[in-house]
Amino acid sequence: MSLAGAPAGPAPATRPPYSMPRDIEDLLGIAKDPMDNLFDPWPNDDRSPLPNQNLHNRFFDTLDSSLSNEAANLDLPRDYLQGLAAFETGYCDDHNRKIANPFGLTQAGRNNLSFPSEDAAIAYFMDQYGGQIRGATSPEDFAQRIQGMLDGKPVPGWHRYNSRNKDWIPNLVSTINSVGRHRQTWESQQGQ
Amino acid sequence: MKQLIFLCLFVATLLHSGSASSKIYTNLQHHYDADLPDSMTICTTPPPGPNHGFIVLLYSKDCDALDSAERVDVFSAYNVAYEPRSTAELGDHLCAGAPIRQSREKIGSLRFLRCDPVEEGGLAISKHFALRRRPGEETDWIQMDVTLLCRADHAKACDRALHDVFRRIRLTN
Repeated sequence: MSLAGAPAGPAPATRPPYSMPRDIEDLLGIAKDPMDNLFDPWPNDDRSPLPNQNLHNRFFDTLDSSLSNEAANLDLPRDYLQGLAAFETGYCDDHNRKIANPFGLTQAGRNNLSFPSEDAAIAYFMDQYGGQIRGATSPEDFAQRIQGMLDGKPVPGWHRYNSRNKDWIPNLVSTINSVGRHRQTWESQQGQ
Repeated sequence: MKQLIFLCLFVATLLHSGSASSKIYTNLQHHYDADLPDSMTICTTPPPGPNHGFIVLLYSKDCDALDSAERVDVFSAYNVAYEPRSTAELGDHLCAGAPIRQSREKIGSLRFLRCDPVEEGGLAISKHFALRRRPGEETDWIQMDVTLLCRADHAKACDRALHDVFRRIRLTN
């Protein structure tokens, strides 16, 4: 709400009821319309490039076969494991590719673990989490299971993959829902 | 001369006590760290879970009881969940319809937007977020979000704590 130009003295009867401004931005009229804040240029808001299909292609070149096989063994759609790997590694960027760690697993001291190969990392992951994610019926169910929960309740003995970040599940689910689209693009380019 | 030696020892003691009272949180993947005093209660995901960030507890000390805890969540991720192409577009996903505003907080030159606070479980939740170009990479972007969860009667103290956490974070290459 802007106070600029407000008439002096008592407000006329037709004036809308005054409401307390939420904060100083409202008082100054900066945030009258939420979109007013999105001024241009935003210093760090130059447009991000389109999703990097070259990176996606390398991800699927390297991991599609092994993750698809593991998914089949666990009776899961392959999007679930591929979505998790894509989210944790940024589609296996150079850093994660170098340490062969497709699931972003860490060691004490917080650095990412380094594996001799992607297959070794996948085997370690399956040993830790395979049993509890087997047969997940939806991306949300998969995300809950990997967090050690079933139907919203913790399961004794199950590991929690990410025990702190409450936004992690929706972020993972969103990535699972988009990874198939990128794989289709990769598959279509395979035939060319 | 004795006075000079005493002064040097005094300064060295001060410097030593200062450096011993903090710890550094480091995130190599997402290129930032934070200098956090030992007096802060910090929660991170235990290994082998992924390293997305840390939580600062404001009034409690139990990292296993986060649901109702007043805290500052600092998290980062690769920009793959929603693939937004701008911070404003990221806000469309993170704010879930709540108005998007300019945040007063920043990390270095990285400025943040924020969602209008929403209330959940007796806590006002205020999310600040930004997209950042990953150092050395033309195509990889990183999403950072810093979320304050606080009771209304602690609002001023929580705002100060949020600002303090922001100023302790440093972007790295």
